[in-house]
Amino acid sequence: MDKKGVFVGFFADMIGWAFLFIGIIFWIFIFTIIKESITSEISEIPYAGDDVVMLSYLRTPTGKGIVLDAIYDAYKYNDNTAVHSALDRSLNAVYGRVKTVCWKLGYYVGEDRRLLVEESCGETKELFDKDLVVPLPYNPQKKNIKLKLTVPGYK
Amino acid sequence: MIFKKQKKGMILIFTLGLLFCFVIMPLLFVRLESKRVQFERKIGDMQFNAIDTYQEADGVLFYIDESARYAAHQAIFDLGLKGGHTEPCEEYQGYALWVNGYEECYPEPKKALPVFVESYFNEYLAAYPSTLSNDYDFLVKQENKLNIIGVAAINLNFENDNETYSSKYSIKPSFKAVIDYNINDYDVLKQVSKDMVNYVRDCEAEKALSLCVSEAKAIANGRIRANGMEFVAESECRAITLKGESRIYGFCAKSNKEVIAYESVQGRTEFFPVVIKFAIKFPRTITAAT
Repeated sequence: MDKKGVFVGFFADMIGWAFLFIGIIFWIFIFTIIKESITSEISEIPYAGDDVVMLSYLRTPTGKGIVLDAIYDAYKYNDNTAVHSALDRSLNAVYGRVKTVCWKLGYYVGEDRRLLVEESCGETKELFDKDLVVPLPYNPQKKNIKLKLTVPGYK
Repeated sequence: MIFKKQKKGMILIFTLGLLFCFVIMPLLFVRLESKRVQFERKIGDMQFNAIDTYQEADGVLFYIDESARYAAHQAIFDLGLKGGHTEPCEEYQGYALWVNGYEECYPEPKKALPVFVESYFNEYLAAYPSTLSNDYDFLVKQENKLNIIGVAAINLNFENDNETYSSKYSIKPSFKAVIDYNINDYDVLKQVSKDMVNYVRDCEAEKALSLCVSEAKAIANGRIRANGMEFVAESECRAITLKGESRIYGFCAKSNKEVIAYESVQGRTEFFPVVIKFAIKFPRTITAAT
Protein backbone atom coordinates (compact mmCIF):
# COMPACT_ATOMS: atom_id res chain seq x y z
CA MET A 1 0.00 0.00 0.00
CA ASP A 2 2.74 2.38 0.89
CA LYS A 3 4.71 1.40 -2.21
CA LYS A 4 1.78 2.18 -4.46
CA GLY A 5 1.24 5.49 -2.76
CA VAL A 6 4.81 6.55 -3.41
CA PHE A 7 4.66 5.44 -7.06
CA VAL A 8 1.46 7.37 -7.79
CA GLY A 9 2.73 10.39 -5.87
CA PHE A 10 5.91 10.54 -7.95
CA PHE A 11 4.02 10.86 -11.24
CA ALA A 12 1.61 13.32 -9.74
CA ASP A 13 4.55 15.54 -8.74
CA MET A 14 5.90 15.67 -12.28
CA ILE A 15 4.54 19.17 -12.84
CA GLY A 16 6.36 20.33 -9.74
CA TRP A 17 9.62 18.61 -10.79
CA ALA A 18 9.37 20.04 -14.31
CA PHE A 19 8.77 23.49 -12.91
CA LEU A 20 11.80 23.19 -10.64
CA PHE A 21 13.97 21.85 -13.48
CA ILE A 22 13.03 24.68 -15.87
CA GLY A 23 13.62 27.14 -13.06
CA ILE A 24 17.13 25.79 -12.42
CA ILE A 25 17.96 25.91 -16.16
CA PHE A 26 16.70 29.49 -16.36
CA TRP A 27 18.79 30.65 -13.43
CA ILE A 28 21.89 28.82 -14.61
CA PHE A 29 21.50 30.73 -17.88
CA ILE A 30 21.12 34.06 -16.06
CA PHE A 31 24.10 33.49 -13.79
CA THR A 32 26.31 32.32 -16.66
CA ILE A 33 25.83 35.66 -18.40
CA ILE A 34 26.61 37.60 -15.22
CA LYS A 35 29.63 35.46 -14.43
CA GLU A 36 31.19 36.27 -17.82
CA SER A 37 31.04 40.00 -17.17
CA ILE A 38 32.56 39.58 -13.69
CA THR A 39 35.46 37.55 -15.10
CA SER A 40 36.26 40.12 -17.78
CA GLU A 41 36.29 42.96 -15.25
CA ILE A 42 38.84 41.22 -13.06
CA SER A 43 41.09 40.26 -15.97
CA GLU A 44 41.21 43.87 -17.17
CA ILE A 45 43.22 44.93 -14.13
CA PRO A 46 46.72 45.80 -15.44
CA TYR A 47 50.02 44.49 -14.12
CA ALA A 48 51.38 47.06 -11.72
CA GLY A 49 55.07 46.14 -11.52
CA ASP A 50 56.27 47.84 -14.73
CA ASP A 51 58.42 50.59 -13.20
CA VAL A 52 60.18 48.27 -10.81
CA VAL A 53 60.85 45.79 -13.62
CA MET A 54 62.32 48.49 -15.85
CA LEU A 55 64.49 49.86 -13.05
CA SER A 56 65.94 46.43 -12.41
CA TYR A 57 66.77 46.06 -16.13
CA LEU A 58 68.61 49.37 -16.08
CA ARG A 59 70.55 48.41 -12.95
CA THR A 60 71.75 45.13 -14.46
CA PRO A 61 75.57 45.05 -14.52
CA THR A 62 77.28 44.74 -17.89
CA GLY A 63 80.97 44.21 -18.61
CA LYS A 64 81.70 47.83 -17.76
CA GLY A 65 79.21 49.66 -15.57
CA ILE A 66 75.47 48.94 -15.76
CA VAL A 67 72.91 48.80 -18.58
CA LEU A 68 72.26 52.50 -18.11
CA ASP A 69 75.92 53.23 -19.02
CA ALA A 70 75.60 51.00 -22.08
CA ILE A 71 72.47 52.92 -23.14
CA TYR A 72 74.58 56.08 -23.06
CA ASP A 73 77.11 54.46 -25.42
CA ALA A 74 74.26 53.54 -27.78
CA TYR A 75 72.71 56.99 -27.51
CA LYS A 76 75.89 59.00 -27.88
CA TYR A 77 78.22 56.84 -29.96
CA ASN A 78 75.85 54.40 -31.72
CA ASP A 79 77.64 51.57 -29.95
CA ASN A 80 74.72 49.17 -29.43
CA THR A 81 76.66 46.00 -28.68
CA ALA A 82 76.58 46.07 -24.88
CA VAL A 83 73.02 47.34 -24.48
CA HIS A 84 71.71 44.90 -27.07
CA SER A 85 73.17 41.81 -25.44
CA ALA A 86 72.29 42.95 -21.90
CA LEU A 87 68.66 43.84 -22.65
CA ASP A 88 68.09 40.82 -24.87
CA ARG A 89 69.30 38.55 -22.08
CA SER A 90 67.25 40.30 -19.35
CA LEU A 91 63.99 40.59 -21.31
CA ASN A 92 64.12 37.02 -22.56
CA ALA A 93 64.77 35.81 -19.02
CA VAL A 94 61.50 37.43 -17.91
CA TYR A 95 59.16 37.30 -20.92
CA GLY A 96 60.79 34.80 -23.25
CA ARG A 97 60.29 31.55 -21.38
CA VAL A 98 58.08 30.17 -24.14
CA LYS A 99 59.30 32.07 -27.20
CA THR A 100 62.10 34.55 -27.86
CA VAL A 101 60.80 38.08 -27.42
CA CYS A 102 61.32 41.12 -29.57
CA TRP A 103 61.84 44.52 -27.97
CA LYS A 104 62.45 48.15 -28.72
CA LEU A 105 64.43 50.74 -26.78
CA GLY A 106 63.92 54.33 -27.78
CA TYR A 107 64.08 57.83 -26.41
CA TYR A 108 62.17 61.05 -26.75
CA VAL A 109 63.35 64.25 -28.32
CA GLY A 110 60.57 66.59 -27.28
CA GLU A 111 57.46 64.69 -28.32
CA ASP A 112 59.19 62.67 -31.05
CA ARG A 113 60.21 59.10 -30.40
CA ARG A 114 63.52 57.86 -31.79
CA LEU A 115 64.60 54.27 -31.90
CA LEU A 116 67.88 53.40 -30.21
CA VAL A 117 68.09 49.63 -30.58
CA GLU A 118 65.60 46.86 -31.32
CA GLU A 119 65.01 43.18 -31.96
CA SER A 120 62.53 42.83 -34.80
CA CYS A 121 59.10 41.32 -34.19
CA GLY A 122 57.10 38.55 -35.80
CA GLU A 123 54.13 38.01 -33.51
CA THR A 124 52.45 40.95 -31.80
CA LYS A 125 51.44 40.78 -28.16
CA GLU A 126 52.10 43.69 -25.84
CA LEU A 127 54.16 42.38 -22.93
CA PHE A 128 55.82 45.52 -21.57
CA ASP A 129 55.63 49.24 -22.27
CA LYS A 130 57.14 51.90 -20.06
CA ASP A 131 58.65 55.41 -20.14
CA LEU A 132 61.21 56.59 -17.61
CA VAL A 133 63.43 59.65 -17.15
CA VAL A 134 67.00 58.54 -16.43
CA PRO A 135 70.23 60.49 -15.88
CA LEU A 136 73.06 60.29 -18.39
CA PRO A 137 76.76 60.20 -17.48
CA TYR A 138 77.87 63.76 -16.83
CA ASN A 139 77.87 66.09 -19.78
CA PRO A 140 77.53 69.85 -19.40
CA GLN A 141 74.95 69.99 -22.21
CA LYS A 142 72.61 67.12 -21.40
CA LYS A 143 71.92 65.55 -18.03
CA ASN A 144 69.02 63.18 -18.63
CA ILE A 145 66.88 61.46 -21.20
CA LYS A 146 63.38 60.01 -21.33
CA LEU A 147 63.60 56.37 -22.34
CA LYS A 148 60.89 54.12 -23.73
CA LEU A 149 61.25 50.37 -23.44
CA THR A 150 58.66 48.13 -25.06
CA VAL A 151 58.32 44.41 -25.53
CA PRO A 152 55.69 44.33 -28.30
CA GLY A 153 55.68 40.59 -28.92
CA TYR A 154 57.64 37.55 -29.99
CA LYS A 155 60.14 37.04 -32.82
CA MET B 1 -4.86 7.49 1.94
CA ILE B 2 -3.28 7.33 -1.52
CA PHE B 3 -4.96 10.53 -2.65
CA LYS B 4 -3.96 12.31 0.49
CA LYS B 5 -0.31 11.36 0.11
CA GLN B 6 -0.24 12.37 -3.56
CA LYS B 7 -1.66 15.79 -2.82
CA LYS B 8 0.80 16.44 -0.02
CA GLY B 9 3.79 15.49 -2.23
CA MET B 10 2.56 17.64 -5.09
CA ILE B 11 2.10 20.63 -2.86
CA LEU B 12 5.59 20.13 -1.41
CA ILE B 13 7.54 19.96 -4.69
CA PHE B 14 5.46 22.62 -6.41
CA THR B 15 5.87 24.96 -3.46
CA LEU B 16 9.61 24.24 -3.45
CA GLY B 17 9.79 25.04 -7.20
CA LEU B 18 7.92 28.31 -6.70
CA LEU B 19 10.08 29.20 -3.75
CA PHE B 20 13.26 28.44 -5.72
CA CYS B 21 12.30 30.29 -8.91
CA PHE B 22 10.57 33.33 -7.48
CA VAL B 23 12.10 33.86 -4.05
CA ILE B 24 15.50 32.19 -3.48
CA MET B 25 17.09 32.80 -6.89
CA PRO B 26 15.76 36.38 -7.33
CA LEU B 27 17.11 37.15 -3.87
CA LEU B 28 20.51 35.72 -4.83
CA PHE B 29 20.40 37.68 -8.08
CA VAL B 30 19.62 40.95 -6.31
CA ARG B 31 22.33 40.22 -3.75
CA LEU B 32 24.89 39.59 -6.49
CA GLU B 33 23.87 42.71 -8.38
CA SER B 34 24.29 44.79 -5.24
CA LYS B 35 27.81 43.32 -4.86
CA ARG B 36 28.54 44.18 -8.50
CA VAL B 37 27.70 47.81 -7.79
CA GLN B 38 30.33 47.75 -5.03
CA PHE B 39 32.94 46.42 -7.53
CA GLU B 40 32.43 49.25 -10.03
CA ARG B 41 35.93 50.55 -9.22
CA LYS B 42 37.61 47.23 -10.01
CA ILE B 43 38.95 44.87 -7.42
CA GLY B 44 42.23 46.09 -5.92
CA ASP B 45 41.89 49.57 -7.40
CA MET B 46 42.86 51.23 -4.12
CA GLN B 47 45.86 48.95 -3.66
CA PHE B 48 47.02 49.55 -7.22
CA ASN B 49 46.72 53.27 -6.62
CA ALA B 50 49.05 52.90 -3.62
CA ILE B 51 51.48 50.77 -5.63
CA ASP B 52 51.48 53.33 -8.46
CA THR B 53 52.41 56.04 -5.97
CA TYR B 54 55.24 53.90 -4.62
CA GLN B 55 56.46 53.15 -8.15
CA GLU B 56 56.47 56.81 -9.11
CA ALA B 57 58.66 57.44 -6.06
CA ASP B 58 60.91 54.52 -6.95
CA GLY B 59 61.52 56.02 -10.41
CA VAL B 60 62.60 59.32 -8.82
CA LEU B 61 64.81 57.52 -6.29
CA PHE B 62 66.46 55.65 -9.15
CA TYR B 63 67.12 58.98 -10.87
CA ILE B 64 68.63 60.38 -7.66
CA ASP B 65 70.79 57.29 -7.03
CA GLU B 66 72.16 57.18 -10.56
CA SER B 67 72.65 60.96 -10.70
CA ALA B 68 74.68 60.71 -7.51
CA ARG B 69 76.77 57.93 -9.03
CA TYR B 70 77.48 59.91 -12.19
CA ALA B 71 78.16 63.07 -10.18
CA ALA B 72 80.58 61.11 -8.00
CA HIS B 73 82.42 59.72 -11.05
CA GLN B 74 82.78 63.20 -12.53
CA ALA B 75 83.82 64.63 -9.17
CA ILE B 76 86.59 62.03 -8.72
CA PHE B 77 87.86 62.72 -12.24
CA ASP B 78 87.88 66.49 -11.83
CA LEU B 79 89.32 66.33 -8.32
CA GLY B 80 92.35 64.48 -9.72
CA LEU B 81 92.90 67.10 -12.40
CA LYS B 82 92.74 69.79 -9.74
CA GLY B 83 95.32 67.98 -7.61
CA GLY B 84 92.76 67.16 -4.89
CA HIS B 85 91.97 70.80 -4.16
CA THR B 86 88.82 72.80 -4.75
CA GLU B 87 91.02 75.87 -4.94
CA PRO B 88 94.77 75.24 -4.81
CA CYS B 89 96.95 77.53 -2.68
CA GLU B 90 99.17 78.16 -5.68
CA GLU B 91 98.87 77.13 -9.31
CA TYR B 92 101.47 76.91 -12.05
CA GLN B 93 100.62 76.17 -15.70
CA GLY B 94 97.45 74.39 -14.62
CA TYR B 95 99.19 72.34 -11.91
CA ALA B 96 98.32 72.61 -8.22
CA LEU B 97 101.54 73.22 -6.34
CA TRP B 98 101.68 70.78 -3.45
CA VAL B 99 105.11 72.00 -2.46
CA ASN B 100 106.05 75.57 -3.20
CA GLY B 101 109.64 75.90 -2.07
CA TYR B 102 109.53 75.74 1.68
CA GLU B 103 105.73 75.94 1.81
CA GLU B 104 103.54 72.89 1.69
CA CYS B 105 99.94 72.83 0.55
CA TYR B 106 98.72 69.28 0.41
CA PRO B 107 95.11 68.57 -0.51
CA GLU B 108 92.35 67.31 1.74
CA PRO B 109 90.41 65.25 -0.81
CA LYS B 110 87.81 63.98 1.66
CA LYS B 111 86.77 67.59 2.21
CA ALA B 112 87.13 68.69 -1.40
CA LEU B 113 85.33 65.78 -3.05
CA PRO B 114 81.86 66.53 -1.59
CA VAL B 115 82.10 70.07 -2.98
CA PHE B 116 82.52 68.68 -6.49
CA VAL B 117 79.87 66.00 -5.99
CA GLU B 118 77.34 68.52 -4.72
CA SER B 119 77.92 70.84 -7.64
CA TYR B 120 77.33 68.15 -10.29
CA PHE B 121 74.55 66.45 -8.36
CA ASN B 122 72.63 69.74 -8.15
CA GLU B 123 72.87 70.09 -11.92
CA TYR B 124 71.18 66.70 -12.30
CA LEU B 125 68.42 67.58 -9.83
CA ALA B 126 67.78 70.88 -11.60
CA ALA B 127 67.44 69.06 -14.94
CA TYR B 128 64.72 66.67 -13.68
CA PRO B 129 61.24 67.39 -15.10
CA SER B 130 59.72 68.00 -11.65
CA THR B 131 61.16 69.95 -8.74
CA LEU B 132 63.56 68.04 -6.49
CA SER B 133 65.09 69.43 -3.33
CA ASN B 134 68.87 69.84 -3.36
CA ASP B 135 69.21 70.10 0.41
CA TYR B 136 71.75 67.35 1.13
CA ASP B 137 74.63 66.76 3.52
CA PHE B 138 77.52 64.82 1.99
CA LEU B 139 79.84 62.37 3.64
CA VAL B 140 82.85 60.56 2.17
CA LYS B 141 83.82 57.22 3.65
CA GLN B 142 86.57 54.93 2.37
CA GLU B 143 86.00 51.23 2.87
CA ASN B 144 86.97 48.61 0.29
CA LYS B 145 85.38 51.00 -2.17
CA LEU B 146 84.70 54.71 -1.90
CA ASN B 147 81.29 55.49 -0.39
CA ILE B 148 79.77 58.86 -1.04
CA ILE B 149 76.73 59.28 1.15
CA GLY B 150 74.13 61.98 0.64
CA VAL B 151 71.76 62.56 3.52
CA ALA B 152 68.60 64.35 2.44
CA ALA B 153 67.30 67.04 4.74
CA ILE B 154 63.83 67.22 3.20
CA ASN B 155 61.40 64.42 2.43
CA LEU B 156 60.17 63.77 -1.08
CA ASN B 157 56.36 63.69 -1.12
CA PHE B 158 54.24 61.92 -3.70
CA GLU B 159 50.50 62.13 -4.06
CA ASN B 160 48.46 60.07 -6.48
CA ASP B 161 44.86 61.22 -6.78
CA ASN B 162 42.15 59.62 -8.82
CA GLU B 163 38.37 60.03 -8.62
CA THR B 164 37.95 57.88 -5.55
CA TYR B 165 41.30 57.34 -3.88
CA SER B 166 44.28 59.38 -2.85
CA SER B 167 47.63 57.82 -1.95
CA LYS B 168 50.40 59.73 -0.24
CA TYR B 169 53.99 58.55 0.05
CA SER B 170 56.81 60.37 1.75
CA ILE B 171 60.45 59.30 1.79
CA LYS B 172 63.87 60.77 2.50
CA PRO B 173 65.78 60.46 -0.79
CA SER B 174 69.17 59.79 0.80
CA PHE B 175 71.67 57.86 -1.30
CA LYS B 176 74.96 56.03 -1.18
CA ALA B 177 77.13 55.97 -4.29
CA VAL B 178 79.70 53.19 -4.13
CA ILE B 179 82.63 53.80 -6.46
CA ASP B 180 85.51 51.45 -7.13
CA TYR B 181 88.20 53.96 -6.18
CA ASN B 182 90.53 54.60 -3.25
CA ILE B 183 90.70 58.20 -2.15
CA ASN B 184 93.67 57.32 0.07
CA ASP B 185 95.72 57.41 -3.15
CA TYR B 186 96.17 61.10 -2.32
CA ASP B 187 97.78 60.20 1.02
CA VAL B 188 100.17 57.85 -0.78
CA LEU B 189 101.13 60.60 -3.23
CA LYS B 190 101.48 63.10 -0.40
CA GLN B 191 103.99 60.85 1.35
CA VAL B 192 105.80 60.14 -1.91
CA SER B 193 106.05 63.88 -2.63
CA LYS B 194 107.65 64.51 0.76
CA ASP B 195 110.09 61.71 0.14
CA MET B 196 110.91 63.09 -3.32
CA VAL B 197 111.65 66.52 -1.84
CA ASN B 198 113.94 64.94 0.77
CA TYR B 199 115.66 62.78 -1.85
CA VAL B 200 116.27 65.74 -4.17
CA ARG B 201 117.59 67.86 -1.30
CA ASP B 202 120.21 65.25 -0.52
CA CYS B 203 120.92 64.33 -4.13
CA GLU B 204 121.33 67.90 -5.40
CA ALA B 205 124.56 68.33 -3.48
CA GLU B 206 126.16 65.99 -5.98
CA LYS B 207 124.00 65.99 -9.10
CA ALA B 208 121.98 68.30 -11.27
CA LEU B 209 118.39 69.04 -10.16
CA SER B 210 116.75 67.45 -13.22
CA LEU B 211 118.71 64.24 -12.74
CA CYS B 212 117.83 64.10 -9.05
CA VAL B 213 114.13 64.65 -9.83
CA SER B 214 114.23 61.83 -12.41
CA GLU B 215 115.81 59.49 -9.86
CA ALA B 216 113.33 60.49 -7.16
CA LYS B 217 110.45 59.99 -9.56
CA ALA B 218 111.68 56.51 -10.53
CA ILE B 219 111.92 55.47 -6.86
CA ALA B 220 108.49 56.98 -6.16
CA ASN B 221 107.02 55.19 -9.16
CA GLY B 222 107.99 51.84 -7.68
CA ARG B 223 106.20 52.74 -4.47
CA ILE B 224 102.96 54.01 -5.99
CA ARG B 225 102.69 50.98 -8.29
CA ALA B 226 101.97 48.94 -5.19
CA ASN B 227 98.85 51.12 -4.83
CA GLY B 228 97.69 50.66 -8.41
CA MET B 229 99.14 53.94 -9.70
CA GLU B 230 102.06 55.01 -11.85
CA PHE B 231 103.59 58.26 -13.01
CA VAL B 232 102.82 58.81 -16.69
CA ALA B 233 103.47 61.53 -19.25
CA GLU B 234 101.89 64.83 -18.27
CA SER B 235 99.88 64.84 -21.50
CA GLU B 236 97.68 62.14 -19.94
CA CYS B 237 96.75 64.72 -17.32
CA ARG B 238 95.83 67.17 -20.09
CA ALA B 239 98.82 69.28 -19.11
CA ILE B 240 102.05 70.50 -20.59
CA THR B 241 105.35 69.04 -19.47
CA LEU B 242 107.16 71.29 -17.04
CA LYS B 243 110.89 71.33 -17.68
CA GLY B 244 112.01 72.55 -14.32
CA GLU B 245 111.56 76.30 -14.86
CA SER B 246 111.81 77.97 -11.44
CA ARG B 247 112.63 74.48 -10.05
CA ILE B 248 108.99 73.39 -10.67
CA TYR B 249 108.28 69.86 -11.92
CA GLY B 250 104.86 68.46 -12.79
CA PHE B 251 103.65 64.96 -12.00
CA CYS B 252 100.80 62.94 -13.37
CA ALA B 253 99.84 59.83 -11.39
CA LYS B 254 97.51 57.54 -13.28
CA SER B 255 95.34 55.09 -11.36
CA ASN B 256 94.27 51.69 -12.64
CA LYS B 257 90.71 52.65 -11.62
CA GLU B 258 88.41 54.16 -14.21
CA VAL B 259 85.44 56.47 -13.92
CA ILE B 260 82.83 57.51 -16.46
CA ALA B 261 83.36 61.21 -16.90
CA TYR B 262 83.23 64.16 -19.27
CA GLU B 263 86.63 65.12 -20.61
CA SER B 264 86.55 68.72 -21.74
CA VAL B 265 89.55 68.61 -24.14
CA GLN B 266 88.06 65.83 -26.28
CA GLY B 267 84.50 66.84 -25.39
CA ARG B 268 83.63 63.19 -24.75
CA THR B 269 82.00 61.31 -21.90
CA GLU B 270 83.41 57.83 -21.47
CA PHE B 271 85.44 55.71 -19.07
CA PHE B 272 88.76 57.38 -18.27
CA PRO B 273 91.42 56.39 -15.76
CA VAL B 274 91.62 58.65 -12.74
CA VAL B 275 94.69 60.86 -12.96
CA ILE B 276 96.07 63.08 -10.20
CA LYS B 277 97.99 66.10 -11.38
CA PHE B 278 100.26 68.09 -9.10
CA ALA B 279 103.54 69.98 -9.16
CA ILE B 280 106.42 70.43 -6.79
CA LYS B 281 108.65 73.44 -6.61
CA PHE B 282 111.70 71.85 -5.08
CA PRO B 283 113.18 74.04 -2.37
CA ARG B 284 116.72 75.26 -2.89
CA THR B 285 119.12 73.32 -0.77
CA ILE B 286 121.73 75.17 1.26
CA THR B 287 124.43 73.74 -1.00
CA ALA B 288 122.62 74.87 -4.12
CA ALA B 289 122.00 78.32 -2.71
CA THR B 290 125.63 78.89 -1.79
